Parts: sequence; structure tokens; C-alpha cells
Amino acid sequence: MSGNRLAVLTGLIGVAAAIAVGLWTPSHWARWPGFSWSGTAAAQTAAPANGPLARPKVMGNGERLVEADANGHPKGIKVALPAKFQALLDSYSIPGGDIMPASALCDPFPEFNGIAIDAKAGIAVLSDTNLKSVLIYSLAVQAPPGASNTTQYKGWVKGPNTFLSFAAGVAVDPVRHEFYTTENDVGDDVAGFPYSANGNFHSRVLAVPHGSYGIALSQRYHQMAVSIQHNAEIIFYRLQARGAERPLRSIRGPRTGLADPHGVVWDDAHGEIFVSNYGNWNQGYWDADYSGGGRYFPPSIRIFKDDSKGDAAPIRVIQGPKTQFNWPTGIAIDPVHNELFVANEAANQILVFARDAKGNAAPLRVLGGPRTAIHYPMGVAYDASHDQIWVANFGHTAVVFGRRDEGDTPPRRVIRNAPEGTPSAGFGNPMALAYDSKRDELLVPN
Amino acid sequence: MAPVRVIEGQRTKLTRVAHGIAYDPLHDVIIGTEPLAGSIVFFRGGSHGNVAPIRVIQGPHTSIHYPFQPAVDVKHNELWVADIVSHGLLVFPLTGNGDIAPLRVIRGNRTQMTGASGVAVDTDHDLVIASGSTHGAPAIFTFDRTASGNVPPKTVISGPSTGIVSGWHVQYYRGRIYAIASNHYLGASYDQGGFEPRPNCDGPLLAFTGPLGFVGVWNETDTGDAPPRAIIMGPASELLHPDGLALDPGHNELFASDSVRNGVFGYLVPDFFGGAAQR
Repeated sequence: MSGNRLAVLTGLIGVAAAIAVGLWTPSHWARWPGFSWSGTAAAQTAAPANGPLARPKVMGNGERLVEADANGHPKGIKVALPAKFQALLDSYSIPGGDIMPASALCDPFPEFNGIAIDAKAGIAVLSDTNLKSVLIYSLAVQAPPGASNTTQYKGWVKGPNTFLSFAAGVAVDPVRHEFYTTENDVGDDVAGFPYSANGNFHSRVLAVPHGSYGIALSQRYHQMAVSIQHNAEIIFYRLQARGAERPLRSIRGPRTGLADPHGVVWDDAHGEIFVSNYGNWNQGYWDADYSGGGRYFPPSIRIFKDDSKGDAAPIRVIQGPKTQFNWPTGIAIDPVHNELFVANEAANQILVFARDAKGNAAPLRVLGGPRTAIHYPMGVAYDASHDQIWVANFGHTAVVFGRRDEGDTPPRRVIRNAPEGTPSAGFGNPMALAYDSKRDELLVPN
Repeated sequence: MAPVRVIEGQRTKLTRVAHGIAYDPLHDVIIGTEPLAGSIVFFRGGSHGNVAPIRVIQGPHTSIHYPFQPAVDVKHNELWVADIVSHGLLVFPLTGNGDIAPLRVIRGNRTQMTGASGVAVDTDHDLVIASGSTHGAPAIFTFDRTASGNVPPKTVISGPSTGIVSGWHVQYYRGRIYAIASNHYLGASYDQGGFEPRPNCDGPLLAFTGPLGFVGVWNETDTGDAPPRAIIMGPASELLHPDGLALDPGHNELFASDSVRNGVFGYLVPDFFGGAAQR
């Protein structure tokens, strides 16, 4: 997901100011056209002759699970509140109720995450995990660093039909003019769209294991490779796969050295797959019978032959203190100049290596420093048409540099999804909360 | 608003979207549970930046599988951790470190508890409160604090009147249980190991289905199909599917994080704490 940070916020006691609410609320669903729940409980009681069986009809407290028909379109599940509880709500029997917060920390703007570029088509595609959307920009977009307004986008894909939720990795298919996004939390899907997608577009969705992050495509194999953080694997599907289409293969096991994999790049020209690893490993997460405990491994980039499957060892590993890896996240290849770009998230840097680097290799160049405006870089992509790199910060900007820029160099362009100066809480799926009574602060893990 | 401090970086041993965090006020320590590494990490309270934890509990003796909410018991120097995959509550020394076995584990079929996601401790009455499921239905349990092994719960709050479609974290304060009803419908497409789609799966489910979640308050003595005695729920509350929960009774404030809303919300609710400022 978008960072493993623990953010500490000042106490919110007595603070009435609230950041404007975000744009995505349940009430909005009713206003989006083309989205409807269909299907009845009765339809779920009989198994269709040639279709999938219905999901469990009864869940939890005896409430009916109503499932919409799919027919190639996204499917929805409607789960009602228990009737007895709904009756209590309707009679206002329970004290409290719809209480407005005295304080609210919620960003109303997108926050960039992953990025992919199709230089020939002239577009950059960026995922937004905050508003659960994807923004598409022209590679030639005018975005001078001094401009303070939001940057004009070509398309903004969002809404329930898109199946975008915790949008993470992005990949582009320059042959079919489609882009794919992964869902890093309960979405458990890869969604596919045409380049022309906009608004609440009906995506083509594929079920994948929980915790997908990076994605890369191969025109040679007509496959997609998806990294699954939780299971420490790379899983492969047919391009344009949909529904519950089964995986073709996976790279998984102790010899792979995969541990919390993030970014993925498929280098068709050299028959290699690059994977960035944070180094966190825990088989007990998915295997209740495993009693070996979790482990911390050093961060690395692991390179596999692209026909690998099963418990395959990598053919190269970039790892060691000289690499300067500090949560290496998004990665990209420049096949012309044989370079590997790494979004070194926690160090606010882009590291550049030789494509065939191995071992405890130092980067060829390091791009980072306060003037670069690189701040929590999650994704990086190479634009061959302009010989530039785009860096997606986890927040309100993406920054563009010349390929050979290094050091503390200002960006050539700044893509803004919010007015300049807009703060970002940096939330990426906050699922826990604690109160520090000593400092009057809130602790928010992300 | 930007955070005042951020703890981040490779040295911290933090992992993706930790599902649990707690603060130890006695020792001024931040405690995080890290599912992707099967660990519990401890930081000095004022930590900032890419700092190493002062202690890490991790290893084959720990019984940690997928740790969720931790709970601090400073009175008895114990740390509780709900573990959702092993369906149990693990108890460690609050100052524990390394590959250590838990002091106690509450787990087994007699507990009636599966999928433990939240835990809180009542040291006044020597009880531990847990959120999870019972017979496939979401539930809130209480056990004797010193219980160990395959023991039955003292109380189980579960049923349609609770309004809980799915739970998450819990807190305790002076005889009251504060519980998150995230009401997420989680229909995982793949099996637990991520090897194959589940039988009868024909595609991913749309995320965030399920009714609105809420924060509910129960008396610790409630049992059975008991409705909450107070709730925060509705569109004005900004809550969709809340997850984390923190209490500041001293200021009559309750805080909830909402991973779907991607925000943190604070509520001024003196009546939820008994009326007057609780100092």
C-alpha cells in the first residue's frame, strides 16, 4: 500500500475546523448513472444451470445477501442492516446517532500513487488511492513549476463501476491502448480500462489474491504479472483476463527471496522481470499451520527470468548498503539507455542503476533533495519521447525531470492534483488509531 | 493538515497498513503490530523519522500469525494482541522482546471465538474484551483476564439487534465497551493462501459494500442479542466503514479512523463517557 508510515497528529481537542469532506460518499452512488443493484434474494436460492453458484445467502445475523447479475459488467453485493437493528434506528431508540465530527482529517483531493507511461500514445496514467480514482495526463501537459493551480488532466476515472478502490500499481498496454490498475486492499482485483476511459466507466475486472500492488505487462507472452505483498508472490494472468479466470503461473517460495514485493517491471527485450522487495516476510499470515514466525530481510530488487514459475531463484539480486534502498517501491526501465529507476520512497529519492546491476551496487545517479520536490515517491516512469522521468509523489504532485538529472535539481514540470500548498495528511488506508495522552497526539499507522 | 511527526523508513520495521497500534502511557512507548512481518514493534513515544524500534517481538515461539489490535495493561505489565488468523488472544510481557512465547493464549473451540480482530482490557474487573466472530456471526466477547487456553467466554454480545455486520477494534472505559462495527462485507475472491479463486467465485466483488458502519457503546455486562446503548452513525458523522478507535475520556472525545473514507474523525461526546469530564 501507500506507505508504511506512522503519522502523529496534534490533538484535536476543541478544534472545530474541518477540512472539506472528500468527494466519494455513499450518497453519490445514487447519482452516478448506469449503476444499479439488481437481483433478489430469491434468485440466489437456486443454482443456475450453467453459471456460478450464488454467494452464501445468509450472512452473519441472518440477513439476506442480494447479489446483482454480472454479464460482463461489475457486480455488486447489497448487504442490509439487520432488520431488528434497522427498526431501532428508525424509531430513534438508540442515543447518539448521526453526530457530526468536531474534527475531521480527510483530504478532498486525489493523492497520487502508481504511474505508467505510454510514450507513443503520449499519456501518463496515475492512480489515486485517496479518492479511489485514476487520472490521465498528456505527456506534453504544460505544468511549469511556478504554476500554483491544478494541472489539466485528459481523463479522471472514478466511481463504483470502475472497481477502483485502493488503487496502487498501474500498467499500460501500448498495443491495445488499455491501462490496468491493481487494488491493494479489499478490492482484490485488477481493473482494465481503455485509454479513453473517463468518469464512472465500467471496467473489465479480474479477481486476484488479496494485497496486489505492482503490475507489469508482456506483449511477448500476452500476460500480466502482479505482485502480491501478503503472499510474497508474483502471479501471472492472460492479458485481458477477467472474472475469476485462473492464474497461469506464479513465482513463489523460499528460493525466490520475495518478501513484501511492490513494484514490477517486465523487460520483454531481455526476458526479465524486476521486482522491488521491502523485505518483510510472514508465512503465518496466510498459513495458519505455519509456526515458523515472521522475518525481516534486507530490501532488494530481484530479477527473474520471465518464464520462471514456482520456487524459482532470481538470476540477479541488487541488495546491500551501497544500494541505499529505503522502502524501494515503484520501478521502471529505460530500455534504450539500459537503466533502472527506483522510487526510494522513505528516502525521498530516485535511484538510477545500470539495468544489469547486481549485488551490493551503488546507484549511477541519485536524484533527491528539497529542491527536487520529491516527497514520498511511490511511482516512477520513463518517458522515452521526451527522455524524461515522471515521479509520482504520494500526495498532490508528480514531478518531471530530465533522465540524466541528478542531485538536488529542481523539476522541469510539476503536475498538481490540488492547488499549490495544499497539505496532505498522507493517509493510506488508516485501519488503526491510538491516543498518546502524554503529548495529546493521535497515532495513525498507514 | 500535515502530521506533526512521521515514523517511517526501512529501519523502523513498520509494514504496510498496520492493523493495530497502542500507546503505553506508563513507559511512554508506541506499540505497533506488523502483519506482513509477524511482529510487534515498540518505539519510544517521541520517536521521529527512520528510527529503529527499541524492541521487537518476533519469531517462531511467539505464536504470532496475523496480529491485529494490541491492548496495554500497565497494571499487570502485560500486552494483549488479537490474532485474526490463529483466532486467539495472545498475552506478552509489556516489556517483552525477541522470540518469546506468550504468557497466555486464549484460543480454542470452547472460546466460541474466531477471527479475533480487537482486544481491550478491564483491569478493574479483571476482564478482557475481544471482537471477532462466533458461529459465523460478528460478536464481542469477554473473558477472565487471567484465563488461558480453551476456555468459554463470560459473555457474548451477538445478534441482529447489535447492528454489527462485521467488527474491527474495541476499547474499554469504566464499565463500557466501545466497539467498531465496520460493516464491511469482505468477500475475498481467493483462498487464504492466494493460490486459487474460491469455489463458486466468478469475479471480484465490488469493494465497500455493506451498510454504513458505526461506533457502538455497550455495557460490559451486556450479553446476547443486545443493541448498542449509544452509537455514532450516519452520513453527517462522515463514517463509512470505520476501523480504528481511540478514546480520550479526559476531554470527552472519541476518535475513529475510516480506511474507506481515508480519514480520521473526532467526536465530542461527553454522554458516551458518563457525562462530566473524566479526569
